Amino acid sequence: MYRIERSRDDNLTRIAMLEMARLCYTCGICVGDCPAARFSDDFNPRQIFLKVCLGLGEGLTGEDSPIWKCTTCYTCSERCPAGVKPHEVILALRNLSFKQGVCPQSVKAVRASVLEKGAVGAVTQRVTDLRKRMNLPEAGDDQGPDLEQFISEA
Amino acid sequence: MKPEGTKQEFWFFPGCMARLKLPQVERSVRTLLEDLGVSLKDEPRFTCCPDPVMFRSASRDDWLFLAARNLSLDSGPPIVTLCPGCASSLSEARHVLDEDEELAASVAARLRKSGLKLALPHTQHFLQILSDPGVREDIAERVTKRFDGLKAGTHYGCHLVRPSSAVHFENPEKPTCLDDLLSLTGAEPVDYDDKYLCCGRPSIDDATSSAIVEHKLKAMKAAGCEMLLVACPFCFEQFDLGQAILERKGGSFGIPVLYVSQFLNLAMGRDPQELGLELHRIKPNGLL
Repeated sequence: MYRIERSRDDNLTRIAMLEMARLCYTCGICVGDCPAARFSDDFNPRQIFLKVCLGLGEGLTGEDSPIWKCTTCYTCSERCPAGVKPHEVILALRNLSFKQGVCPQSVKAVRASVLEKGAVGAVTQRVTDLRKRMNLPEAGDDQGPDLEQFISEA
Repeated sequence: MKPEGTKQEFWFFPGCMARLKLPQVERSVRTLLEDLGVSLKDEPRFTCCPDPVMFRSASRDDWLFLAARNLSLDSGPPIVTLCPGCASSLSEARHVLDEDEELAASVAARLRKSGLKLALPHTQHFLQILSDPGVREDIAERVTKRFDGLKAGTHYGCHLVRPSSAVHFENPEKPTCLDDLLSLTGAEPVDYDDKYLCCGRPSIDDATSSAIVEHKLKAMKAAGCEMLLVACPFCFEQFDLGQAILERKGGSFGIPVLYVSQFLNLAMGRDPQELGLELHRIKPNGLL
């Protein structure tokens, strides 16, 4: 008997087990209309999912992994006849990459911006002027609640 | 028109992208909803929804907790967003917490430490309000500028309708609301190739993202689209700025992109000067 070694990451194992319980039968419907699969060479949600199920998911983390190509359009999860959610598995792999410190700079930047300022992006003079001209409420002073503290205190 | 006394009220969730980058989109949505008698309340304590793509890619736990924070700030009316990403993110968080009692209890306990009581109000994109037959009739009656014969493409945006288990709006693969609204003005919805394909913007890989937007713009042009209607600030930027970038590299499309609310503002007689259309990269001058 072969013994399949599961991922050492608890969260990834939890998600893979949860999804595997629904019994993917590798029909490939998640690949057919996947935008990232159609418009790049090395992205395949079925393959990613199966690798995770076989305990090979950790080879899929890192900045250069194809997982970052996913457009999070949710088509795979909408169409799966077995109710598997491939996009959840891809997001779990991204979370694991972040935890390992090996994810694209843009993800780190968005996270830092949200935690520091409560928003993605900054209040610029341009937008302040435009909002005034358009009679919109002020955009705020860039000092949203300290979400970093909010998360860590809870 | 709706009789007095049935005025709908919502917390207005503007989201980062429109608030900080595309204020003209926020202006047009507020104007449209005000014209339709919908009352909006502002909540300055709202933060990023948080972003269901980038922020959630870092940590699902933190995404869920901060979404729960936004949902729990107030009681009272439901939330309306102008961005499908915000609506989808908040709806999905609500769905996750609705389905998992244990998780909800732990999130509630964490929120209590900051003096918040976990609440799960309904969140919707403003197009859901516009899908009401009475509201649609109201819009039809208010159309003063018609666009008879204008060949227009529509692009829905994935998060407007998905995940359908949380969003519950329209057919999750073939929505029709934008085409229906176009028709109220006499414009002619165009069925172009891959109409329901994602715009590509949320891919963190630039090559994938630009290959998709180029493919879609070529399909729209081949089908004769004279304008594109969108309902998501990210799709807007992908098609407007993305188109300008492709044109600089030698592409030729010339398809102005309008947010659905801007188009309806125009059709309902608002002065084009109010709409900030001069801020668009692809100038919609031919439509004015």
